Amino acid sequence: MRRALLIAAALLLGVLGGVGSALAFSGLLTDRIRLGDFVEIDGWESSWTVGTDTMNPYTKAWVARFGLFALRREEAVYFITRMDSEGRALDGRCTYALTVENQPGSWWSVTVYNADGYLPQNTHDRLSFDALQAERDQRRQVLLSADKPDAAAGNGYWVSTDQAGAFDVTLRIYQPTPAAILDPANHFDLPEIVRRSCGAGGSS
Amino acid sequence: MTRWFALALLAFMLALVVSHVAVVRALPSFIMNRGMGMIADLGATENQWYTAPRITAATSAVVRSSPDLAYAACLLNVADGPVRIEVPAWDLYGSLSVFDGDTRNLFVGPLDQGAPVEVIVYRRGETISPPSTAQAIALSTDTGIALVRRLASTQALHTAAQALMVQSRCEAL
Repeated sequence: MRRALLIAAALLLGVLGGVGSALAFSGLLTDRIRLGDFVEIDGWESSWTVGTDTMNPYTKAWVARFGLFALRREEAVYFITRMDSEGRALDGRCTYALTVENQPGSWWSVTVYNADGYLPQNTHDRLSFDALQAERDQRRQVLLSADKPDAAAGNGYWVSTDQAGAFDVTLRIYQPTPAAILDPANHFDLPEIVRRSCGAGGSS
Repeated sequence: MTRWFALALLAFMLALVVSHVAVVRALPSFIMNRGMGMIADLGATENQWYTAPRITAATSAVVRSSPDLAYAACLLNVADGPVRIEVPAWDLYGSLSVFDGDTRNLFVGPLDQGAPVEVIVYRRGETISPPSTAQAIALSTDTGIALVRRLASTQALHTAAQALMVQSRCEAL
């Protein structure tokens, strides 16, 4: 009886370990352990095999959870960052600035998502900034903050992080050039996200 | 007793590896099914276009939806035969994409080239004779999804983009 219990306990522990490690290595439990195939440029990450048969199973699981229906890289690349320029986690209580230069593709956009990958639940209707707006308004600076910035903050385009909590920023680039796909580090100019202030008092 | 501990260790390792591989392999199709189920809950039916409302915090049903794009989805089921998809062109960025039930992006056709995009989606292994204007896409699963994305960052553009879905087809052949 005791021996049977020993084997049953070993099987149970094995299953728990197998399920837990599968979720962890797919990046579904924590960002710190992940066995996916990712390109990393200046703190921004992108999976280079999204949607293809060469996507490894861990990346596939991560993409299914955090980027379902993502297009393959010849059509679109998705860079995501969760960190500011000093390596601190992005926080909806803080104010950030970034300047988005033109990207090697036909269109780009910057969007804020919460930790679950959904748009922040606010009603500001200021959820993203894209190449058409940049061209129309002749401005490239984006301000990320929970409240509308005052005039002293400059003329950056406001994207609301109200209700975003610990958020990430996604930079989509559609129809990237073949050269950029082959050598991303030397073609994509990914912006630094600079923290300007933090907390109710607005201190740095 | 040592033999039983060795057996227990073997059972642990076996259970660990088998459950690890099973979960990693099952996750994409499990999550894909949930994603398609959420779209069905919004009112989409199989092999018909569903025109999504403008993406806002309140309407976004799928992770990482873009508020700058007008989306339409067709939940594909090719178990009973091929499905024909046809989508008109759009002046700005746009695409028609097809995914199988395991998240693979099998096809992307541009909608910004001035011509409609037409595809026939069928179950791998079937024999079909697509018209010369259409591209044939073989699904490795019975179900999948076709998505239209059109750049439409204003309400006026979104309305115009979604009006085009009336002229679009997603139907059993």
